[in-house]
Amino acid sequence: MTQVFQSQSHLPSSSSIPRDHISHASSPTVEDEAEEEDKERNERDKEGDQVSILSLLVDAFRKSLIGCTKYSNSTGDGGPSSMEIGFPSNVRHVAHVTFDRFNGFLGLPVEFEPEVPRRVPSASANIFGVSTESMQLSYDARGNSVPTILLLMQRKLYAQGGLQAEGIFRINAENSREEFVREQLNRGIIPDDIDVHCLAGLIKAWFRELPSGVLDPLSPDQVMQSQSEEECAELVRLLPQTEATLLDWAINLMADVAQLEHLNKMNARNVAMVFAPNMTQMADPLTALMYVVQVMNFLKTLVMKTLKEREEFMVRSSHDPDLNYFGDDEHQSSSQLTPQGDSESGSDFGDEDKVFVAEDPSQPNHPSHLIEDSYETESGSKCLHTPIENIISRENSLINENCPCNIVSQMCSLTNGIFTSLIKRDEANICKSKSLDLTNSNKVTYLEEVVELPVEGAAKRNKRTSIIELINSTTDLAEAWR
Amino acid sequence: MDASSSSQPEFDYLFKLLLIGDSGVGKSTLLLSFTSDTFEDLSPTIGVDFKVKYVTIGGKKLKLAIWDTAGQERFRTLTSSYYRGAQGIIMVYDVTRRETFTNLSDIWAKEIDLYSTNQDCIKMLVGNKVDKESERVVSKKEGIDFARESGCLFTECSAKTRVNVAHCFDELVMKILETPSLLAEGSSGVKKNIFKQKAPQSDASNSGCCSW
Repeated sequence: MTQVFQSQSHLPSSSSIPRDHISHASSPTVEDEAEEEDKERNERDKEGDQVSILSLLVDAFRKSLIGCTKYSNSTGDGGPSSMEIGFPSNVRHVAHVTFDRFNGFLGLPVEFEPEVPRRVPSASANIFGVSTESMQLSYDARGNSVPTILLLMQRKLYAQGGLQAEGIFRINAENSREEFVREQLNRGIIPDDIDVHCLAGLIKAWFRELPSGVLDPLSPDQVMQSQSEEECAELVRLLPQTEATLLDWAINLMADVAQLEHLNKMNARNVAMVFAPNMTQMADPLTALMYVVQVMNFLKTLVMKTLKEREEFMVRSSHDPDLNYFGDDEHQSSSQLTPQGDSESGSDFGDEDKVFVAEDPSQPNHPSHLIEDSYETESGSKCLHTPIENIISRENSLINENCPCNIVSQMCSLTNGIFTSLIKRDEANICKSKSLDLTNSNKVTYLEEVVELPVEGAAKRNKRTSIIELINSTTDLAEAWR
Repeated sequence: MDASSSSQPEFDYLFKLLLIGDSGVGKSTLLLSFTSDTFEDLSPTIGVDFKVKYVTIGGKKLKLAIWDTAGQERFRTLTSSYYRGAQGIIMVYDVTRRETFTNLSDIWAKEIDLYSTNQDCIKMLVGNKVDKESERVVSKKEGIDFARESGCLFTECSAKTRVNVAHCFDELVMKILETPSLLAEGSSGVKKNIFKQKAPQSDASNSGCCSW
């Protein structure tokens, strides 16, 4: 009984003690004392039980061997005193408790439940400075299993318009506020009103304070020598699974930021720069400083690659004439597709995701139903785009008939711009409601919003002046997006 | 960059100045505005950037080596070594963002106490971005009060409109010139060797930053 209790309460706190001792030396001692008291009380209870059992035995002895009364009595006294030294006796297996990385503690006896939060962010009391191995994980929109706390912070960041905030991930939050939020998170409490810069700062801090940096498995030489996108991608493949997943998540986050560069002024280089120093750990400041430039270039290349892939994905989808088939009934198709996609997202689409990406380039001209299938294996967000893209590609083809080529290309680049921002909103939403509470009506609103501009363009296509106006605004928007 | 000219005794004194403050308050733009009279939106600084400017004040030729540190959290510990031997430290905040002001007392002032080796070194508080007067959240009075409290000079400026930028550096340098111990440190004969030792590392980080 005591043993089970001890192992549970001790595992988490023991790993946190070194940190606590540094920051505030007084409180852990108080906690420790309280814990000691608890243990002692338990032991005393147990001793009480055993004393009564022993006294019964002793009584039985007395009755059978009256002559040896004195002898057996002394044994009876000696029993409890030897128990205090504590060799294990009367040990009972009460429960087998495990820490599941997706569900927290499993098999925890009911009486201990109040002491351990139901869905703890990690096996240890802290969420910062703790190995990912002991963190509670959830699936992100791409099917990677990522520490829940990161997804939570990301979801809050996106929901509060953090991606649009100027200098996001560069700007420091107020130090005392960040410390407060960090403390709350460590206790498993998520404050409601967290500033976006605070969230961004904590995401960086999470990476910075990992026991070892995400890119530490790679040697500085390797990073230094990787210049091209292919070389960098090759290098990513050398990372262990956990680090590779974290890096992939971070790169996509950076790409999300860089896509809204016109609003947040953080291009791929800038965001890579502020992330770079948090991805490696080096003791020597000077080496760290030199290396950080290489890491920044490495991250920047990967972010650019991701952005390019997203753009290609959009362009291909919006230009594929076969897909027009879906455009006829966009609302219905979206409501049909989405639940399928979402139902997949919870299970094992992580592997399928890779398969999809790998097969992607080989099947750009496949019949539409095949492509639809592959969308389903993607996350819900991608499914959603199928119909929207088609609407716009259809509108594009309408405009195509009456407009000069350069207008069309400008329209296309604009559409892509809208898409990329749309994807982000969807991803934010998917993250926000992994548990499928995202209503279809929300998505329909997005559809209408996005369709608006091209439809307007199509309506005005006979009026030359208004087309020129549109071009101007389009160019501005497209420029801004770049 | 004029680092190569350090071999000739073209100056009477060499002073090391340091710019610190939160990320995005405009340390690098302030420096750029001072050294080359231009303004642009700059990327975050990697580690430490470094610029040299020659000025003549009160008939003395001065070489100012200005170290511009990165405000990113991770670099706080890395840049600590750059506090060493600085005669002047400029603490920059953004008058439109209160947290940059409060962080100066929470973090940066403590950093100076921890790492600055020079007891007499002159500190200066600078409120940047006064061109955004409508967005101002930190009043001039608050700035003055904090400066008085922590015993430093104070000015408000705008790197964008270049208001008060030169004045800010001039005032700091004047104060250094008035302090005999700092003056002794900065006289060309003493300082040159130390400077030469440090130059290669700053060049290395510098070439990386400015390559874009």
